[in-house]
Parts: sequence; structure tokens; C-alpha cells
Amino acid sequence: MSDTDGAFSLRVSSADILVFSYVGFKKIEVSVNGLEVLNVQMAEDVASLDEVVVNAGYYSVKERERTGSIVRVTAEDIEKQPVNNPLAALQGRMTGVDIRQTTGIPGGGFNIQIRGRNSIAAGNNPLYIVDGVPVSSERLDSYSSIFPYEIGVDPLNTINPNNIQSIEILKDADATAIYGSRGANGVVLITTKKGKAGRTQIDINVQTGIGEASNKMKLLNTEQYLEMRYEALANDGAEPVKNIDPDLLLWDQNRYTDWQEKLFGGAASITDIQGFVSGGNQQTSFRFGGGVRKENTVFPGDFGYRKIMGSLNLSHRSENQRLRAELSITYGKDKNNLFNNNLVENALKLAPNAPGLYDNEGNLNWEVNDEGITTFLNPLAPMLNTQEVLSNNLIVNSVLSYELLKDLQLKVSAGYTDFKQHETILTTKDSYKPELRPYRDYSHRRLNQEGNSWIIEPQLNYSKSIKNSNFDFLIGATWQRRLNVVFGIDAYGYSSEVLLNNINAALESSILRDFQNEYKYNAIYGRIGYNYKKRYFINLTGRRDGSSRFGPGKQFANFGAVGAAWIFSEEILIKNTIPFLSFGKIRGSYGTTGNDGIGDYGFLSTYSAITQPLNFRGNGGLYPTRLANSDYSWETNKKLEGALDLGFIKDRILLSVNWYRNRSSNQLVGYRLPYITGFNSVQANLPATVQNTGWEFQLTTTNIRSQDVAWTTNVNLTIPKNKLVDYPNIEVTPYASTYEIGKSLNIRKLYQFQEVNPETGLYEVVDINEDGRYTIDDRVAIITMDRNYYGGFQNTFNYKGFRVDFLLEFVKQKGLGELGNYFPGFTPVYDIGGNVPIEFIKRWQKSGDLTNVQKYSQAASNLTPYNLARESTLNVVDASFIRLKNISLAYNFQGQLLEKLNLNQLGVSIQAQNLWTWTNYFGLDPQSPGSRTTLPALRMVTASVHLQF
Amino acid sequence: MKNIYNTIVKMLTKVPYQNRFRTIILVILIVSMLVSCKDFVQIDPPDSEIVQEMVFTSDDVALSAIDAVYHNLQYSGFSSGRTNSITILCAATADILKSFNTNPFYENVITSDNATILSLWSSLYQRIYEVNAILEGIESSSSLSETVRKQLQGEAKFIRAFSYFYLVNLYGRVPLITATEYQSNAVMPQSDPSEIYKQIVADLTDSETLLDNDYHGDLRTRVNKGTVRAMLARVYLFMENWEQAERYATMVINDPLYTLLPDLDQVFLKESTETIWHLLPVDSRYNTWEGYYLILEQVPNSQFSTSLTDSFMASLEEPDLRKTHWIGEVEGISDTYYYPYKYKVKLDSNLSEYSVVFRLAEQYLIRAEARAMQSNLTNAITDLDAIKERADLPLIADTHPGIDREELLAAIWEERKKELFAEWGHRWLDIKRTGNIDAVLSEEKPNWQSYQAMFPIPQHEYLNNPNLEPTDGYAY
Repeated sequence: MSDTDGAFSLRVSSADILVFSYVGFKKIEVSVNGLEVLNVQMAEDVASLDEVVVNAGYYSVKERERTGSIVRVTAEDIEKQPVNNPLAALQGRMTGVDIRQTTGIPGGGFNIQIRGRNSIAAGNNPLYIVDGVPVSSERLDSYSSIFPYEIGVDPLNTINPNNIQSIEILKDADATAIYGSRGANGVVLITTKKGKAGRTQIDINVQTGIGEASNKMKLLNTEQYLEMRYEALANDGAEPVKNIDPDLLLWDQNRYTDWQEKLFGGAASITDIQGFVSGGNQQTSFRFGGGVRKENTVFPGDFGYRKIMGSLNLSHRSENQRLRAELSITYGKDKNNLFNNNLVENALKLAPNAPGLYDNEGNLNWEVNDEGITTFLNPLAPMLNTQEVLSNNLIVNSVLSYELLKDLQLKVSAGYTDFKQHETILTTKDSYKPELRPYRDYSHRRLNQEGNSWIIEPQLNYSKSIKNSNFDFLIGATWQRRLNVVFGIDAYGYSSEVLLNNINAALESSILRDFQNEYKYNAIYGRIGYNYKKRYFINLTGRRDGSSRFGPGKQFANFGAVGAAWIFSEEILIKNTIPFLSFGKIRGSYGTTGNDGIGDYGFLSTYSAITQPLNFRGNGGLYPTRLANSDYSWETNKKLEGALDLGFIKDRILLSVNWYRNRSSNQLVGYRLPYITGFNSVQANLPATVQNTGWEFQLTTTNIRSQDVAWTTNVNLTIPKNKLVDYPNIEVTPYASTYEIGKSLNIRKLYQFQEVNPETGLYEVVDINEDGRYTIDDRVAIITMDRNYYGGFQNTFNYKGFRVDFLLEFVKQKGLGELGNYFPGFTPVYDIGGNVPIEFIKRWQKSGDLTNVQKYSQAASNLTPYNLARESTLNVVDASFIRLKNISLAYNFQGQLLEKLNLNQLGVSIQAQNLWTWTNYFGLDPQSPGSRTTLPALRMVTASVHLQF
Repeated sequence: MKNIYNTIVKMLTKVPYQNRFRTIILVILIVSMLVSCKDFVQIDPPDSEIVQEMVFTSDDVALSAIDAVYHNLQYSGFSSGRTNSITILCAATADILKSFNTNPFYENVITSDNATILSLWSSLYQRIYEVNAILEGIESSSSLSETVRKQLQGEAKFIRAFSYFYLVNLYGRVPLITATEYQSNAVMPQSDPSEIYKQIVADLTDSETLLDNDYHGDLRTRVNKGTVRAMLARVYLFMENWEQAERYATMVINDPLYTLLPDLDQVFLKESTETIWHLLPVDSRYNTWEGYYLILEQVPNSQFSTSLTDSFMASLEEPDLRKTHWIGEVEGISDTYYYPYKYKVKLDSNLSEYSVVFRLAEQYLIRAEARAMQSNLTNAITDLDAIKERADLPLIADTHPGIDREELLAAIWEERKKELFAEWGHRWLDIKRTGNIDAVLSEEKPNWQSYQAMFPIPQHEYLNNPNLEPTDGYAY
């Protein structure tokens, strides 16, 4: 046995012939012939489907024999990407898995959807399992606006991508049904690296690089901007007003600042250092180590993200092989230090002639006018405040298994997770406009969110082979409990800024939040696998689940699936008639899974104590917490899949085609209500059925495979389709305005754009029913914002020690345009005003002009046509893109040098992420079309060195 | 059960002796796994919440439910006096306040998706939900004392009527919600204003009998019988039931608890005996929100952005004590800005002013109008002069003793504007109910259109309740 790169030493006689073999590589025989150092390059053996073992959660299965739909990314692909979150490493690499980064700010959340959006409103997050322990997939709410609610803090941030052996994503019923209730949106299994028996190894990996915002927008320059502002006033027959138009009356008319360059044009540096020790013998093996990572931001100032990660894996088996024990501990701690202001949005809307950020004394400039009124809201002011998020994440799992009888194994897996997030926000008076400071306090806010969970899963496995029949039985149970505690405190009334760190120095303080919620979960499950001659496979899976999120009598439900496969290439007839077919399998599955991804306690009618973020006078009191509904229960997802896996020419061409249809019904939603009910939602089941169908193609070809050269290509393509199949009486529900039967959930109902009226210069949309006003009935243009298709194209070239690899991610989609974000002509003093993209220069100017940009204006009355137009087809654009997601160049040193340096391995590499994007989309990042607040994904280039002793 | 046991025993005897122990463990394990414990997934309510039924089992806890309603009334929403309250918004839509900021309320270009119009609406219905829940809680409880039961019912019904009064006057036809059951509430259609008024009168009439004459709690922060009567006088005035309006206003005016204070500077102090009902400012750093947001210490800026309109300032005669006592001014470089200065405290944690909801002066003006409508001009003039006298203005009785009915009514409405400006949207409601809105606002606002007299039913509500009709003139 040797490691992936093959180094080891052996005592042999010179006449021996050595046989090298390794999982996934071709066997090689070399005669020693008296040489001291033998260099053997083993070719990867893609044909060995039989050897690849896929983690399916409660059990493992050989790639060749699996009946379920499981896609997999291994350490090899994850390691070469300079990412801080495991999900980032998966983008573009897997069929059926749609991952979007919500922000380029380090630490921000990712959106992941496996096989489309199943649920109108319950969580669409998959289940995350790290080494057998479920980890919350909810993005954490951040109280400071470092990350707004829709972005959140990603729960996988503290998982070290470099310590991941593989990530498997379970998609269909056969694979996910064993997770029952939690498998409706798919399952993401993360397996950390384990030690191997053999010589003790030390691995060191150092990576450093820089990143910058991958895109900027072209905006008006000062001349064009002032022209716009004066033209707007002239169009409205208005004159500049002192307090409203400082950009015209007070600010320098010749000044120009590229605010994008100034506010998010910086270079973010990244440093990542990792070290691991691993080794062991036949009975016990270990791997431990850790790393540190530091990322700065592209914003001005000293802000950034850093994390420390550590992990330990131990495994042991008794001498008689009957007892096995495994322990894995991963720990991560990260710290995000940012400021509460969206500099991206500021950079886009600040007037190009806005004054400097600092005055002559080096203080923040507010450009105060002669009456003491601030005319320039300095975007750097919030940087005077402190906003810090610290989190700790501990995941422990232990597995004990014992062979009770021959072929009968008892396995107990026990896991514990402990998560803490501490947030501190210090606000200083100086961050407010000078004239408002007398009415403001220094304040100190702290918010602690803590959660811990334990899980115990006893399990029995029994395998039996009788002649050509092979049976696998598995039965098990789950008990899980999670407790979350949120506690926050607000302190204010400090006499000076220097005391701000200390809550005791505050004049007053009050409890901001004090809440805990508990979640309990219990299930039994079983699986029967049967195959005949390893050619015909059938699997039955069943599970009964109970969740505390449902009211009495509604807690339990049953889920199950059946999966089958036929390896037809093993049939003699086929072997003889189609000799170039090296592998052929048809598989299919059908089953149900559930979803309880909603808040706790929705069925309880309760009162809570008044908690305002303030100290209060009077008695406070008790107010109704929520509208309660004790009737809702499990959302169910029925999944159907058919697939064909083919291998040609000794598996040099591998093709996998999947078709799926998932139907999700009994939708769990926070049912929308009008406020006349006292609230705006209640937890309930919707009678809606949502269908996701799709085709997934995965093609892997080994184009060249020789002693020195190898070239493989990987193409994946997903064509998803989302549809609301059924919703009885939708027209009398609140959802009628948003959804349409037969259409996707991700539609927008828009007005039909007509024109910019050549006479008035104002936008006009079509009043379809000609009733003289614009209502939902006129929104007849239904545009789907789904991805039409998406995928990746990856190539890997190996030449001796060199390796070049690149991945193109491609997406075909429509998105909202930039129109809705700008109102050209308005003063920068107001939110909607300020600078605009260069596109707006095509505006209407005089009677008879034909264009599709409304005239410049600063009048509130012209907002109405503008608001209609942004909700019209005018604002829908093509947001498709192709992105060079990742490119890496690596070289592994060989031979003499390694020996001289006493190294086992030495590799250097250069990686780049998001290097190039081809798109017609005009905004900052086609990943989040229509947003002017999102920092585009960073373009990162890093260099790294890997040493192994 | 016995069968299973026998089978297991039989199976066990077949297992070789040395493996029997292990097998027994195994069987126990399997059985325990199969017995999935139902109890495991039952959870207790969180520590921070109290189950609804428990709230109405004791007097103390039940009272804390109405405490929260009062707290919410002052802290946020339509009744708070903040920039999104009726006091400021309806002074803006009328001819009282102008703004340094662009704000659709000042230009009367509110759209149905405006966030403020929704928060105004939702805060009204949230208070209604809270009191409906209290009324139902009391109904289903048998362990409350009779005193507390009556007090709570009286207060809850009053607050429901009070909220509907503003709903019907701001939005016109609105859904009438009198229970908490959300399934039927969610699809509730609008009722005619007459239906809403019927409910208001019914609630207030009940409330009048349920509540004591004396105030409970801190000063006049909880409604009593006098408050209900003051409200009834106002409601009947709006319903043009002049007799009843006069009758109830008289009851309040004759109530020894209330006096018209001669010193204008004392009217809004917390101990003021002109106050019929006021709200306790709950945020310990401030006095009233009205004082905080309306008082200017320098020229208007992005936060303290409102000042009195030129037309309002021009309408004040000399000498009017209200001009010197209830209006403040700041000098800019080229302009002077005037602001409402009824509340004198902008920012102070020492509490000297409460937020006044009802005060006696309004009752005099209600009675003056009700009497004038009934052609009882002499007594109407007396009531009007009571207010004028305090402002040190010449009395009608002296200057125009022979004033005709129409002139007198116009004088009363003008006096209401000057006396009640920047309080509770009085001016907005008055120009609407008297039919003067088009005449008044087409002069004040260049783009005034009649449909703007009604606030739009919020788009959120229109989209989430299939039975709602949109408000005329607005886009949805």
C-alpha cells in the first residue's frame, strides 16, 4: 500500500519484481534490477468502477453497484480551488446541483438547491451530514448588517475544505429515503480525511494570493452626470434648491471620482497554511492537524475574515477484527470583522463629483453647509463602528461497531455538535451626521447564538450470500435533539467612546432578545438490499419519522423507497454482440421523503413578554406571539428517477444520463395572511403540488492515456424544469398574485412594456383590461427566472509531473436588469437618486424621440411610470454567462530533488478562481441579476506549495 | 404479544449456548429500537413564552395583556406620535406640516405599495387583534375577578372602537374584524362605513357601562368612563348625530375631573387636568415622540425634517397666544422655520410630558359644532369663545354676535385647525368630513386630486385577501 502519490521504501532483493497496485490506478509490474530508486508512474484506472466506493450515508456502496443517484466530488478537485467554503468548490461540477454564491464578501452564505425548488416556502436547504452528524443547514441570522438576512452566515464556513476526503450528494428517492423526513431536498454528505496505515507522514500546504472584484459597471462621468441633473431640472421646470441639490450648488463641478475603484476596487489578500500528521499501523491509524486562513476584503480599511481549524481522526480495530472504533473531531473558529454599510451600492450611486472622503485634517468629510446641514453622507462613516462576528463550531462523532455473529454487525454512531456565534456591535456618535450627534448615543450591542445537538444512531447490519443471491439487511434508529439559545443585550448612554467596550460603563442596558428553541427528532429505519449474481439489484428502504415541529398527533410519518438496477453489460448476449460496451447499467427508483424545515413551535398558541430594544417605563406586558395552527404536518416529496450508465472502450468513455421527476406536496409554508388577521403569516400546509423534472448528463472521456500523458474531459449538463402542477382554488388565495398553475415557482408576473411615449418622454406599460388603472390583472407577462440549463466543462491534462486543469461553468437564464435600480435625474440626497449606468444616456430628450429610456426627471410624480416600467418586461434581460470558474497549473517534483531535500513529495501550483466571465449581462454579477448591493464574486489568483515529509 | 415471546424463546434455544448472551442483547436492542418513543418528540413550550390559556387564569397575568396594548400604542405605529403615526402623517397630507425630505405623504402621492401606509394599517389591525384576543380570553376564563373582567372588557372594547374610528376615516371601507380566528379573517371583505360605525358605537356603549369613572394606574394612562364619553362625542359628531355629540361632550365638560387650563404651557404636562387620556412614554430615554420629532433645534435636516406650512402660519391672527406658546421658530440663513411646540421636551430622560390623546378643548369645539348644527348659535358661540378666550383672541360674542350659522361653522372649523394642529390628524379628518378637502388642498398643493382624500388599502392586503376591493384611483 502507498499513498496517492506513491512514495514509500521497501527492502527487496534486486531480482524481485515489484507489483504496484492502488485503488483507482492500473496495476504495474516493474523489475527491480538492482536500482535503488524506482520511479513508477501509475496511470489512473478509470475503468475500475468496481473499486470506487461511494458513501451513501448509513451504508457504503460500490460505484458500480449503486442503485441510487449519487454524485461525488473528491479531495483532488476540492484541494485545487482557493475557496474557504466547501460549497464553493462544488459550483459547476455536479449535475442537478445549483449553487450560487450570494456575495463576494468572505464568510457570506451560499444558496444550494438540489434538483430545483421543491417548496414554496419551507426550507429548500438540503440536509448536511458531516462524518455522520447532521449539521444545521440554516444560514445564521446576523444581527448586524454585515450580512443581510437573505445572505446570512454560512454554517459550513468552519468546515475546512482541505480536510475533506469527499463530498457526496444524494439526489433520488433510493439514496435519500433512508434520511426520511430530512431528505426531501437532497443530502450533502461530507467525509473528512482519515489516517492510513503506513509510514507517518507530515503534510504542509501553504497558499497565498490576492483577489479583486470580478466586475465593475460603466457609469456616467461628471460631465454626463451634471448634464443629466440639469436636464432633469429643466424637464420639470424646476430650479436647484439649496438643501436638495448640493451636487449642483455646493460641490465642485469639475471633480471626478471613480467610486467603484475607491470603495470596492482594492485587492484582498488571502493566506492559508495547513499542516497534517497522519499514520498508523494495521490496527490503529490517525490523522490530525489544522490550519489558519486569513482573507482581507476589497473594501478600504482594515477589515477581514480569519479562521482557525483543527481536526482529529482516529480509528482502531481489534486484533480479531470484530471490534472497530472511530472517532472524528473537527473544530473551527472564525472571526469576521466588517462594517455596516453597503459600499457596493454606495459606489454605484454616489455622484461622481461628490466631495472627498476626508477633510484636510484627515477626518471624515461631511461637507456641512452654512446652515450646519450635512450634504454628503460619507460612506466610510460606518467604519468608525465595530462589527465583529465570532463563531466556534465543534463536531464530534464516534462510531463503534462490533461483529456480534458472523455477518452480523452492531454499530452505534453517536455525535455531538456545539455551535456558538458571538456578535458585537459598537456604535460611536462620530459615525452619525454632525447635526444628529446630539440626539444619538454611543451604544454597545451583543448577540449570542448558541446551539448544541446530540444524535445517537444504533444500527444492525446483516449480510448473507446464498449461492448467487446476496442479501444486505440494515435496521437502525435515530434519536436527535437540538437546542438553540439566543440572547442579546443592548447597552447605551456611555459618556465617552473609550468606555464603549465595557457594558458595565453604560448608563442603561436592556435585554434585546432572550429565546430558546428545542427540536427533537426520532426515527426507525431499515433497508434491504438484494442482488443476484451482482447483476440484478433491488433495494427497499423504509423509515418512520417523528418531529417535534408538528403538533400532537401530527408528528409521525412514514417514508420509503424502492430502487433497482440491472447491469446488462454482464449478460453474455450483450457482451458478445456489443464488444465495445464495457459497462452498461439501467437503474431506477421511486419513493417518498419528507421535509420539516420550518420553525419550531408553530402549533403553540402563546404569549410573550414585551421585548423592545430599549429600557421601558410602565409595565411592559404580554402580547400574543403568533397565530397558532395545530393541523399542519409533514411535507412530502415523491421522487421518481430513471438512469442509464454506460461505459465504452474499456470505460474510457463514461456516460451517465438521469431523468428525474420530484413531486412535492402538502407544502409547508408560512401561509401569507393579510394584516387584518393581526399577523402576516401562519404555519400551514398548502394543498399545492410542485414538480421538478429534469435531465442530467455526465460525460467523462479519457482522451489520451499513456505513460507520460493523460487528458481527461468531464462535461456535465443539467436541464431542469420547475412547475406548479396543482393548487386547488389558487385564485382565491394570496398566492394567486405570485404563482400560476402550470408555470415555475420562480416566475415574475410583469406588465407588458409598451414604449417611452414619444411626446411625454415617460414610460408606458399596457393596461390590458383597459380599466384605466394598473392592477395585478394587467400583469400578464409571465417570465420565468429559472436557469434553463447549467453545467460545467472540465479538462485535465497530465504531462509527467505537470497537471493543468480548468473548469468552465455555464448558465442559461433570464434575470432582472439594472433599470429597476436607478431613477435618472434624482438628487443624490435621496436614496433613489445619484449616479446611473452609462446605458441611461440613451434617454428621451425631445418630442418625437424613440428610445426605451425615460426622460431625466427629479419629480416624484414621474416615479409612477418608472415604477410600472421596472415591473414590466422592459426590465427582463438575458443573464446567461460562461465563467472560467477555476484554472490550476500544478507541478509535482520528482526524483533527485526530493531525495536531496529529504521530502516525500513537493508540489507547487497556481490556481485562479472566477478568472473570466463571458456575458451580455450589464450588471455587476450575472450570478445575482438585478442586485446593485451584491459584491460580485471575487477573481482570485493564488499560489501554493505542498510539502510531504 | 405472548406469541412473539414464545417465538423469541424458541429461537434462542436454537442458538448455541456460547452465543446466547450476545443474542439476548441483540434481541433487546432490536425490540427497543422498534418501540419508537412517541414521548420523545413532545416538547415543552419555550421558557420565554406562556401558553395562551394560562394568561387568563389570574388577574395579574390577564392585566399584563392589556398593559402590552398600551405599551404598543405609545411605542410604535399609528398612535405613537412618531413620523409614521397619524399625528405626523395626517398633518402632512393636510395643510399643517411641510417637509425637507421627499415623502409621498407631503405631496399626497402615496402609492398602494408604500411601506408606511402598510405599517399604519397593520399597527391598527394588530391592536385590534390584541384586544380581540383579550376579549376572547376573558370570555373563556372563569377564574378572573369581576372587577378585572369588567375593566379589561371595557378597555379592550374602547381600544377596538378607537382603532376602527381611524381605519374608517383614513381608508373608508375596511374589513370588520371582531374575533381572532384567522381562517375567516383572512378572507374578510370590507364593510360599509355605516357598519363600522355601528360596531364602534356598540363597543363604546358597552365600554361606558363597564368602565369606572376613576382612573386606574399611572395618572390618566388607562381609559376610564370619561374617555369613552369623549370618544362617543367625537364619534357622534362624525356620524352627524348632533344631539348625542352634544350630550356626550356636555357630560365630559361637566365632569369635575377636567378643566380647561388657562396657561397654554401646562396643557401637555403629565399632570394636566385638561387631559382626558394620555399615553405613558415607554422608552426611558425620551418624553413624547411628538416632542422628539417635531421640535427643531436648528434648520430642518434629514431626520427632524418638518416645519409648519406657510399657509398655516399666515392663518394665525395677532395676537394668538398659541402662536407664542405652541409654536417655536429657528432662523436659517435665508428663511425662518416654525414648528409645533405644544410638547416642550425634545430629548430628556426626566419625564414631564405624556402623549395626549384626548383633551377637554376638543370637547368644547365638538359641542360648539353640534350646537351650531342644531342652530343653537348662542351656546355654540359660548363654547367657541371658551377656546378663543384662552388664546387671548377677540370673542365672537363681542365682535360678531349676529354671526350666521354657516359663518359660525366655518369659524369653528378654523378654530379646530388652530387649536388641534399637529395632534392626531384632526385637520385631515375635519376637512374630509366637512367636504372642504378639495377647496382647501387644491390651493395648498399644486397637484391635488380628489381621490387622494382616501388612503389606499395597502397592496399587501389587496394581494393577500381575495375579497378586498382596491381603493379608487390607485394602482395595484
